[in-house]
Amino acid sequence: MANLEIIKFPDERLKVVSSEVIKENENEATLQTLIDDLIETMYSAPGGIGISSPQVAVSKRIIIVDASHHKKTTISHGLVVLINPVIVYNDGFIVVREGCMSVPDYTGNVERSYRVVVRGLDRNFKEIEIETEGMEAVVFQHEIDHLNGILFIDRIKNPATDLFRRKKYL
Amino acid sequence: MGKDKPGIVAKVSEVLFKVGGSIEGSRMSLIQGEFAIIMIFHLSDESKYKFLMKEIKRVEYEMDIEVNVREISEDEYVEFGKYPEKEFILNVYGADKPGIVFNVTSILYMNDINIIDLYSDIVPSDKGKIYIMSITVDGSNIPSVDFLKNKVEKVCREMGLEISVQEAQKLEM
Repeated sequence: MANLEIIKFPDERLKVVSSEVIKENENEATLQTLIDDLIETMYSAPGGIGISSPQVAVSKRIIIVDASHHKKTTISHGLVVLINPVIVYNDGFIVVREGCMSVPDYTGNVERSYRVVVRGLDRNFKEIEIETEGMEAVVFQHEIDHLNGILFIDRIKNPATDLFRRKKYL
Repeated sequence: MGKDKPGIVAKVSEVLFKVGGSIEGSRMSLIQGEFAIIMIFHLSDESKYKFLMKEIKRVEYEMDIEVNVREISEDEYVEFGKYPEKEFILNVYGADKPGIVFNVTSILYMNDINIIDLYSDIVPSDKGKIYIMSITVDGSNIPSVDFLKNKVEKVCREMGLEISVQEAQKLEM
């Protein structure tokens, strides 16, 4: 296993849409090593609860999530490896101050769905579906965004303008 | 600051650009037609200071605004990106009466709690005006939501205000 270098914005590779992982086109050993390296890299980062493949400059649709050790987590599925993840259901909303290894020293309020159902393949290409909420749901959404070249700074909201300003502004 | 109108930000930042200043952080606010902005900028060529002030005077006159320029010395300068470890949000609301901001913030001050963001609005309703205030505080001296709630609950009860306290949700990925 290796601790990989996290690429940081303005690296243009963070703004690219990653490609689907197709089992037949992959070298099995290379893919498994990439997944192990992603896990190690995630755990050695300060937040350490999520990572996506494009953050280590590999433009493939792979994410790793482990929200189990975040103190505000309500539901956690432990360590999850997800290939070609898709959000198939979402509802509710939650505003969280997010930060990202690829955008160091910056945090911003982002509105996410409170509850999501995510579908994808595990590291053995077996189909899995995860239903979750709260912090873990936020991590999934944040990491899947990376696969589409979207950073949390694309989604920053100002809560001050949300909560009370209704009338007279349009 | 001054009466809001289009072009204030453009005119002020044009001056900063002309003297080779680079803007770091900035925050603008607009309330009921009144405009205010705070900008931190770096002026690398100190010999441009006089010209800067002359240009600022011109913009003040042209846009009918007031501009205050203050130099930040090197030892008081805070690098961008320094956030408190923890933040708490207090939402206070109730029938409007004098002293809401004063009473709530005094309790915070007495407990050495620093406000990092505050906004308040007055909203009409059938039974008079409602005051709504949201305060974000640095949580360094605050062990828990309950601790902060206990500190402010008494004064809120006395003033007939509703209060809710929450810890800001943070997620570093």
